[in-house]
Amino acid sequence: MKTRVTLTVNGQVHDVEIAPHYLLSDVLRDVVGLTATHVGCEQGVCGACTVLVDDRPARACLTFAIQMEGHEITTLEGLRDDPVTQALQQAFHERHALQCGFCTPGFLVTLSAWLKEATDPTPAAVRDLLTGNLCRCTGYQNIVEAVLSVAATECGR
Amino acid sequence: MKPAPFAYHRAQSLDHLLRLKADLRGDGVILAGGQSLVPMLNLRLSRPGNLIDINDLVELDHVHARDGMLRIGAMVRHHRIATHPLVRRHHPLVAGMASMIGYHAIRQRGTIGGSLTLADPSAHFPLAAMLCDATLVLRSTRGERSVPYRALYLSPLNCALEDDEIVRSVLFPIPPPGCRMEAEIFHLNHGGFPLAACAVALTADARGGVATLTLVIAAGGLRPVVLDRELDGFLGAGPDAGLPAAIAGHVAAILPLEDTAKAPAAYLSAVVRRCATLCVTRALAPRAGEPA
Repeated sequence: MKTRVTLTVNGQVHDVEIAPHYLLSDVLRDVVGLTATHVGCEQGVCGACTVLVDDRPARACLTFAIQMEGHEITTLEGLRDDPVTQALQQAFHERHALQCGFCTPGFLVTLSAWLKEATDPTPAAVRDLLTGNLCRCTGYQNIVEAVLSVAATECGR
Repeated sequence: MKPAPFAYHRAQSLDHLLRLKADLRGDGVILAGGQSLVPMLNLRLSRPGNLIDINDLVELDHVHARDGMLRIGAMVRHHRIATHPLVRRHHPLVAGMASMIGYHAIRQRGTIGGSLTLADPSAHFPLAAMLCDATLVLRSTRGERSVPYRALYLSPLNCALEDDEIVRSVLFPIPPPGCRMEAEIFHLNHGGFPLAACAVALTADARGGVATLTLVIAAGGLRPVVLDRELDGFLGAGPDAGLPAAIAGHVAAILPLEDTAKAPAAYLSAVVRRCATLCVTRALAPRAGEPA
C-alpha cells in the first residue's frame, strides 16, 4: 500500500507517493527523476548508489525512502555547485579517472564528503576509502592520482 | 533484487518502540543501520511482515564513560564510535575495531546494537564484546535486564533476546591501566567479512612477562571462542621472543576448526596462528611513555 512521504532532495521538497519497501535509490531515479544515482549491486558493496544523508555518505540501496522523512538527501546533482566536487570532476577528466562512467557518481559523492573532513589524505587512506566503491574499468590508479591532486589543494582549507 | 513488501513503523520514542515490540513480537524486526539487514531483505533471504525503524531514537544514541564503564547506546554508528574522543581515550580497541568495519559509507549508518545482535561470527564488534566481557542492557515493557554478551551469544546469528526485547546500551568495562588490547583481522578482500580474527587482552608483570591473558578467536564460521583458563600455562612466562608463537600454536591446536566452503581447516589454522602471533607480539611490545 502506498503512502505519502515528503522528501527533501538537494534542498527541494518533493511530495511522493511510495510503498514502504521502495529503496531510496529507486525512488530518487524513478519517482523524483534524478538519475545520477546509479544502481549496481543492491547489496551495499559497489557504492554506485552512494548519496549523502544529512551530509554523510550512505548507500541509497540500503535505505528505504520512507525513512528519509525529516532528513536531507543530497545526490550528485545537488553537488553541481560544490567547489570540491567541481575540482574532483576536473581532476577525473584530466587524469582519465573514468572510462565507462557508471561508477563515477558514487565515487564523486563519497570523495566530496570525505575530502571535507580528511586531515591526512595519504595514498593509503585514499585507497582504504575507495575499497567501498568498485570500478571495473580503470584499475583505480588514475582515480587515486586524481583524488590526491585535489587533496593537495582542498584539504585543511 | 528488491525487498518484499512490509509494514513500516517509525518508533517515536523508547516507550513507543517497546510497545511496538510487545505488540508485534517476533514479526516486528528492528531496522537499525540496515547495513546487514537491508541486503538480506533485498536478496529476500528475510521477509518480515513489519519493520520498526529506530534510526531517529535519541534515547539510543549516547556515549558516556563513568564508574569504570564505557556505555554506548545501541544506535551509535560505527563512524562515531571510531572517532569519539571518549571511546578513543578509554577503549582504543573498540574505536579501532569500529574503524575497520566494512567501508566508509557503511560505517556512517551501521550501529553497534545491530552488529552485536546480528551476531555474525566473523564481525568485529562481537569479537571485541567477547574479549572485553561487555554487557548488553536489554529493555522491554516488562523491564530492564543486563546480560553478558558472552552469555547472550548462543550461536552464529543467534542471540538470546526475547521477542519483545531491544538493546538499549552496551557496557564495556574500561580496561585497567597496564592492560593492553590488540586485534588482528584477516580478510581475503578489504572491507569484506574477515576469514579469521584474533583479539587479545594482556597485562604484563613487572618483568614484562604475562600476568593475565585472554584471547578470542573467530574463524571458520564458528561462535567466537574465548580462551582464558586454557592459557593459564602461559601465566608468568616471558618475556621471550618465542612466546607469541608458542601461545598462537597452543591456541590453534585447541580450536575445533573444520574445512569450510571458504578455506580448508589447515589454512584457517595457519591464519589463526598468524593473527594470534601478531596481536600477542604487539601486546607484549614495550611502548613509549610506559615503564618498562
